[in-house]
Amino acid sequence: MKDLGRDIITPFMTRMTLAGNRPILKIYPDTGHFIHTDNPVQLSADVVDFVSLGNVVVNSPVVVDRLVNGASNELAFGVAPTPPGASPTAGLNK
Amino acid sequence: MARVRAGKIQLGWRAWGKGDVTVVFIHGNLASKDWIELAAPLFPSGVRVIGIDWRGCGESDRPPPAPDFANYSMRQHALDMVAALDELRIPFCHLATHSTGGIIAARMLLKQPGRFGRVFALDPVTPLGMSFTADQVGLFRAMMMSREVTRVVMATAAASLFVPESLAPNVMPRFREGLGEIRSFYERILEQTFGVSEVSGSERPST
Repeated sequence: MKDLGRDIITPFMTRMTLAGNRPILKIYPDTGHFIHTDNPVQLSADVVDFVSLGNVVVNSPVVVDRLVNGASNELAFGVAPTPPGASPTAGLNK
Repeated sequence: MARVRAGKIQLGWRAWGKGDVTVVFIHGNLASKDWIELAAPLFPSGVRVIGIDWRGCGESDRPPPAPDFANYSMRQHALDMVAALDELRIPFCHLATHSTGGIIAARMLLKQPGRFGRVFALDPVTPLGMSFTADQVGLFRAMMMSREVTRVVMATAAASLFVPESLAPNVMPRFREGLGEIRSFYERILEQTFGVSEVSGSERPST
Protein backbone atom coordinates (compact mmCIF):
# COMPACT_ATOMS: atom_id res chain seq x y z
CA MET A 1 0.00 0.00 0.00
CA LYS A 2 3.04 2.26 0.23
CA ASP A 3 3.70 1.80 -3.50
CA LEU A 4 0.52 2.00 -5.53
CA GLY A 5 2.49 1.30 -8.69
CA ARG A 6 2.72 -2.33 -7.55
CA ASP A 7 -0.95 -2.63 -6.61
CA ILE A 8 -2.67 -5.28 -8.73
CA ILE A 9 -5.77 -5.55 -6.57
CA THR A 10 -7.30 -2.10 -7.04
CA PRO A 11 -7.27 -2.21 -10.87
CA PHE A 12 -8.91 -5.64 -10.80
CA MET A 13 -11.60 -4.47 -8.41
CA THR A 14 -12.24 -1.36 -10.51
CA ARG A 15 -12.66 -3.38 -13.68
CA MET A 16 -14.96 -5.89 -12.02
CA THR A 17 -17.05 -3.10 -10.54
CA LEU A 18 -17.36 -1.40 -13.91
CA ALA A 19 -18.46 -4.76 -15.32
CA GLY A 20 -21.32 -4.80 -12.82
CA ASN A 21 -19.97 -7.39 -10.40
CA ARG A 22 -18.33 -5.58 -7.51
CA PRO A 23 -15.94 -7.89 -5.68
CA ILE A 24 -15.38 -7.64 -1.94
CA LEU A 25 -11.84 -8.03 -0.69
CA LYS A 26 -11.18 -8.99 2.91
CA ILE A 27 -7.82 -9.24 4.61
CA TYR A 28 -7.52 -11.88 7.35
CA PRO A 29 -4.74 -10.59 9.59
CA ASP A 30 -2.24 -13.04 11.04
CA THR A 31 -3.37 -16.01 9.02
CA GLY A 32 -1.50 -18.06 6.47
CA HIS A 33 -2.72 -19.65 3.26
CA PHE A 34 -4.92 -22.01 5.27
CA ILE A 35 -7.30 -19.30 6.47
CA HIS A 36 -10.00 -21.87 7.15
CA THR A 37 -7.64 -23.67 9.50
CA ASP A 38 -6.18 -20.56 11.11
CA ASN A 39 -9.51 -18.84 11.69
CA PRO A 40 -12.49 -21.15 11.04
CA VAL A 41 -14.78 -19.11 13.30
CA GLN A 42 -14.44 -15.92 11.27
CA LEU A 43 -14.59 -17.86 8.03
CA SER A 44 -17.92 -19.52 8.78
CA ALA A 45 -19.40 -16.20 9.92
CA ASP A 46 -18.19 -14.44 6.78
CA VAL A 47 -19.47 -17.10 4.41
CA VAL A 48 -22.92 -16.92 5.99
CA ASP A 49 -22.93 -13.11 5.88
CA PHE A 50 -21.79 -13.14 2.27
CA VAL A 51 -24.33 -15.73 1.17
CA SER A 52 -27.26 -14.24 3.05
CA LEU A 53 -26.50 -10.52 2.95
CA GLY A 54 -24.13 -10.16 0.03
CA ASN A 55 -21.57 -8.43 2.20
CA VAL A 56 -18.96 -9.01 4.89
CA VAL A 57 -17.28 -6.71 7.36
CA VAL A 58 -13.90 -5.93 5.88
CA ASN A 59 -12.58 -3.06 7.94
CA SER A 60 -11.03 -3.13 11.38
CA PRO A 61 -8.09 -1.27 12.93
CA VAL A 62 -5.82 -4.30 12.62
CA VAL A 63 -6.73 -4.78 8.95
CA VAL A 64 -5.91 -1.16 8.16
CA ASP A 65 -2.62 -1.52 10.01
CA ARG A 66 -1.67 -4.66 8.04
CA LEU A 67 -2.64 -3.00 4.75
CA VAL A 68 -0.38 -0.05 5.44
CA ASN A 69 2.49 -1.67 7.30
CA GLY A 70 2.32 -5.28 6.15
CA ALA A 71 2.74 -8.34 8.35
CA SER A 72 4.58 -7.85 11.58
CA ASN A 73 7.78 -9.78 12.21
CA GLU A 74 6.91 -9.68 15.86
CA LEU A 75 3.76 -11.68 15.16
CA ALA A 76 5.62 -14.29 13.17
CA PHE A 77 7.65 -15.27 16.20
CA GLY A 78 5.27 -14.23 18.96
CA VAL A 79 3.17 -16.65 20.93
CA ALA A 80 -0.35 -16.84 19.58
CA PRO A 81 -2.92 -16.96 22.41
CA THR A 82 -5.12 -19.99 22.89
CA PRO A 83 -8.79 -19.24 23.59
CA PRO A 84 -9.78 -20.45 27.07
CA GLY A 85 -12.19 -23.31 27.63
CA ALA A 86 -13.34 -26.24 25.55
CA SER A 87 -13.94 -25.24 21.97
CA PRO A 88 -13.82 -27.01 18.63
CA THR A 89 -11.41 -24.35 17.45
CA ALA A 90 -9.30 -23.90 20.56
CA GLY A 91 -5.75 -23.09 19.70
CA LEU A 92 -6.48 -21.97 16.15
CA ASN A 93 -7.53 -18.37 16.53
CA LYS A 94 -4.94 -15.75 17.06
CA MET B 1 -17.36 -43.10 3.12
CA ALA B 2 -19.88 -41.40 0.82
CA ARG B 3 -19.11 -41.27 -2.87
CA VAL B 4 -20.94 -39.74 -5.79
CA ARG B 5 -20.69 -40.59 -9.48
CA ALA B 6 -19.17 -38.02 -11.82
CA GLY B 7 -19.08 -39.46 -15.31
CA LYS B 8 -17.03 -42.64 -15.22
CA ILE B 9 -15.50 -42.12 -11.79
CA GLN B 10 -16.61 -41.76 -8.17
CA LEU B 11 -15.82 -38.73 -6.02
CA GLY B 12 -15.71 -38.63 -2.23
CA TRP B 13 -18.09 -36.19 -0.60
CA ARG B 14 -19.35 -35.13 2.82
CA ALA B 15 -22.17 -32.98 4.14
CA TRP B 16 -22.50 -30.93 7.31
CA GLY B 17 -25.77 -29.44 8.57
CA LYS B 18 -29.19 -29.24 6.96
CA GLY B 19 -31.14 -26.43 5.39
CA ASP B 20 -32.40 -24.72 2.29
CA VAL B 21 -29.15 -22.82 1.70
CA THR B 22 -26.39 -24.99 0.24
CA VAL B 23 -22.74 -23.98 0.22
CA VAL B 24 -20.40 -26.26 -1.73
CA PHE B 25 -16.74 -26.20 -0.72
CA ILE B 26 -14.23 -26.57 -3.55
CA HIS B 27 -10.88 -27.39 -1.98
CA GLY B 28 -7.45 -26.47 -3.31
CA ASN B 29 -4.55 -28.37 -4.78
CA LEU B 30 -3.07 -31.22 -2.72
CA ALA B 31 -6.07 -30.95 -0.39
CA SER B 32 -9.46 -32.57 0.20
CA LYS B 33 -13.04 -31.87 1.20
CA ASP B 34 -12.05 -32.47 4.81
CA TRP B 35 -10.16 -29.19 4.99
CA ILE B 36 -13.44 -27.37 5.70
CA GLU B 37 -14.05 -29.72 8.64
CA LEU B 38 -13.12 -27.19 11.32
CA ALA B 39 -15.38 -24.46 9.97
CA ALA B 40 -18.33 -26.46 8.66
CA PRO B 41 -19.80 -27.40 12.07
CA LEU B 42 -19.83 -23.70 12.97
CA PHE B 43 -22.25 -22.78 10.21
CA PRO B 44 -25.72 -22.00 11.60
CA SER B 45 -28.78 -24.19 11.16
CA GLY B 46 -30.40 -23.67 7.82
CA VAL B 47 -27.10 -23.92 5.99
CA ARG B 48 -25.94 -27.17 4.46
CA VAL B 49 -22.24 -27.40 3.66
CA ILE B 50 -21.07 -29.97 1.11
CA GLY B 51 -17.46 -30.81 0.34
CA ILE B 52 -16.46 -32.80 -2.73
CA ASP B 53 -13.02 -34.29 -3.35
CA TRP B 54 -11.31 -33.59 -6.64
CA ARG B 55 -10.48 -36.71 -8.62
CA GLY B 56 -7.13 -37.95 -7.35
CA CYS B 57 -7.68 -36.41 -3.93
CA GLY B 58 -9.20 -37.55 -0.65
CA GLU B 59 -11.55 -40.47 -1.14
CA SER B 60 -12.10 -40.00 -4.86
CA ASP B 61 -11.03 -42.39 -7.57
CA ARG B 62 -7.53 -41.91 -8.94
CA PRO B 63 -7.63 -42.73 -12.64
CA PRO B 64 -4.17 -43.11 -14.14
CA PRO B 65 -3.03 -39.75 -15.50
CA ALA B 66 -2.83 -39.25 -19.24
CA PRO B 67 0.67 -38.41 -20.49
CA ASP B 68 -0.26 -34.73 -20.65
CA PHE B 69 -2.41 -34.89 -17.47
CA ALA B 70 -5.42 -33.79 -19.56
CA ASN B 71 -7.69 -35.93 -17.40
CA TYR B 72 -6.55 -33.92 -14.36
CA SER B 73 -6.97 -30.46 -15.92
CA MET B 74 -8.87 -27.65 -14.23
CA ARG B 75 -11.50 -28.05 -16.95
CA GLN B 76 -11.90 -31.72 -16.04
CA HIS B 77 -12.17 -30.96 -12.32
CA ALA B 78 -14.91 -28.41 -13.08
CA LEU B 79 -16.79 -30.94 -15.21
CA ASP B 80 -16.48 -33.46 -12.36
CA MET B 81 -17.90 -31.00 -9.85
CA VAL B 82 -20.86 -30.09 -12.02
CA ALA B 83 -21.55 -33.77 -12.69
CA ALA B 84 -21.41 -34.48 -8.96
CA LEU B 85 -23.87 -31.67 -8.25
CA ASP B 86 -26.21 -33.18 -10.85
CA GLU B 87 -25.94 -36.56 -9.19
CA LEU B 88 -26.52 -35.06 -5.74
CA ARG B 89 -29.53 -33.19 -7.13
CA ILE B 90 -28.31 -29.75 -6.20
CA PRO B 91 -29.82 -27.38 -8.77
CA PHE B 92 -28.54 -24.20 -7.11
CA CYS B 93 -25.85 -23.46 -4.55
CA HIS B 94 -23.25 -20.99 -3.39
CA LEU B 95 -19.56 -21.77 -3.59
CA ALA B 96 -16.80 -21.43 -1.00
CA THR B 97 -13.40 -22.07 -2.51
CA HIS B 98 -9.81 -22.24 -1.36
CA SER B 99 -6.70 -21.58 -3.41
CA THR B 100 -6.77 -23.46 -6.74
CA GLY B 101 -10.40 -24.30 -6.09
CA GLY B 102 -11.03 -20.73 -7.25
CA ILE B 103 -10.02 -21.66 -10.79
CA ILE B 104 -12.38 -24.62 -10.77
CA ALA B 105 -15.20 -22.41 -9.48
CA ALA B 106 -14.54 -19.87 -12.26
CA ARG B 107 -14.91 -22.62 -14.83
CA MET B 108 -18.09 -23.89 -13.16
CA LEU B 109 -19.50 -20.36 -13.32
CA LEU B 110 -18.62 -19.99 -16.98
CA LYS B 111 -20.25 -23.32 -17.74
CA GLN B 112 -23.47 -22.79 -15.76
CA PRO B 113 -23.69 -19.16 -14.59
CA GLY B 114 -27.28 -19.44 -13.42
CA ARG B 115 -26.60 -22.39 -11.15
CA PHE B 116 -24.44 -20.58 -8.64
CA GLY B 117 -25.15 -17.69 -6.32
CA ARG B 118 -22.27 -16.10 -4.51
CA VAL B 119 -18.66 -17.24 -4.63
CA PHE B 120 -16.53 -16.84 -1.51
CA ALA B 121 -12.92 -17.37 -2.52
CA LEU B 122 -10.24 -17.89 0.13
CA ASP B 123 -6.79 -16.82 -1.04
CA PRO B 124 -7.69 -17.82 -4.60
CA VAL B 125 -5.40 -18.54 -7.49
CA THR B 126 -6.20 -16.35 -10.46
CA PRO B 127 -8.21 -18.02 -13.25
CA LEU B 128 -5.17 -17.41 -15.43
CA GLY B 129 -3.35 -19.98 -13.31
CA MET B 130 0.12 -19.89 -11.84
CA SER B 131 3.50 -20.68 -13.24
CA PHE B 132 6.12 -22.28 -11.03
CA THR B 133 9.86 -21.90 -11.15
CA ALA B 134 12.09 -24.94 -11.39
CA ASP B 135 12.85 -24.57 -7.68
CA GLN B 136 9.16 -24.54 -6.82
CA VAL B 137 8.50 -27.62 -8.94
CA GLY B 138 11.43 -29.23 -7.19
CA LEU B 139 9.81 -28.52 -3.86
CA PHE B 140 6.63 -30.28 -4.94
CA ARG B 141 8.72 -33.23 -6.11
CA ALA B 142 10.43 -33.33 -2.75
CA MET B 143 7.01 -33.32 -1.02
CA MET B 144 6.02 -36.35 -3.07
CA MET B 145 9.00 -38.27 -1.81
CA SER B 146 9.11 -37.28 1.85
CA ARG B 147 6.50 -36.96 4.60
CA GLU B 148 8.91 -34.76 6.51
CA VAL B 149 9.21 -32.28 3.66
CA THR B 150 5.44 -32.30 3.23
CA ARG B 151 5.04 -31.55 6.93
CA VAL B 152 7.48 -28.66 6.86
CA VAL B 153 5.97 -27.06 3.75
CA MET B 154 2.40 -27.45 4.96
CA ALA B 155 3.24 -25.97 8.34
CA THR B 156 4.19 -22.68 6.74
CA ALA B 157 0.60 -22.28 5.56
CA ALA B 158 -1.02 -23.13 8.91
CA ALA B 159 1.34 -21.33 11.23
CA SER B 160 -1.16 -20.91 14.05
CA LEU B 161 -1.00 -24.65 14.78
CA PHE B 162 2.71 -24.71 15.50
CA VAL B 163 5.19 -23.39 18.01
CA PRO B 164 6.47 -20.24 16.28
CA GLU B 165 10.14 -20.99 16.97
CA SER B 166 9.75 -24.42 15.36
CA LEU B 167 8.88 -22.78 12.03
CA ALA B 168 12.41 -21.52 11.62
CA PRO B 169 14.57 -22.95 8.80
CA ASN B 170 15.99 -26.45 9.33
CA VAL B 171 13.67 -27.17 12.27
CA MET B 172 10.86 -29.72 12.26
CA PRO B 173 7.58 -27.92 13.11
CA ARG B 174 6.13 -28.81 16.53
CA PHE B 175 2.45 -28.56 17.40
CA ARG B 176 1.39 -26.00 19.96
CA GLU B 177 -0.17 -27.08 23.23
CA GLY B 178 -3.94 -27.11 23.54
CA LEU B 179 -4.87 -28.14 20.03
CA GLY B 180 -6.86 -31.19 21.17
CA GLU B 181 -8.52 -33.06 18.32
CA ILE B 182 -7.27 -30.49 15.82
CA ARG B 183 -3.88 -32.16 15.98
CA SER B 184 -5.23 -35.49 14.73
CA PHE B 185 -7.27 -33.62 12.13
CA TYR B 186 -4.12 -31.98 10.84
CA GLU B 187 -2.23 -35.26 10.78
CA ARG B 188 -5.04 -36.71 8.68
CA ILE B 189 -5.01 -33.93 6.09
CA LEU B 190 -1.23 -34.08 6.06
CA GLU B 191 -1.40 -37.77 5.17
CA GLN B 192 -3.99 -37.01 2.49
CA THR B 193 -1.69 -34.40 0.99
CA PHE B 194 1.22 -36.81 0.94
CA GLY B 195 -1.05 -39.31 -0.81
CA VAL B 196 -1.86 -36.92 -3.67
CA SER B 197 0.83 -37.86 -6.13
CA GLU B 198 1.45 -39.66 -9.35
CA VAL B 199 4.23 -41.44 -7.50
CA SER B 200 2.93 -44.79 -6.31
CA GLY B 201 3.71 -46.06 -2.85
CA SER B 202 6.09 -48.68 -4.17
CA GLU B 203 8.16 -45.99 -5.89
CA ARG B 204 8.66 -43.97 -2.74
CA PRO B 205 11.56 -44.48 -0.47
CA SER B 206 10.52 -46.02 2.83
CA THR B 207 10.46 -43.52 5.68
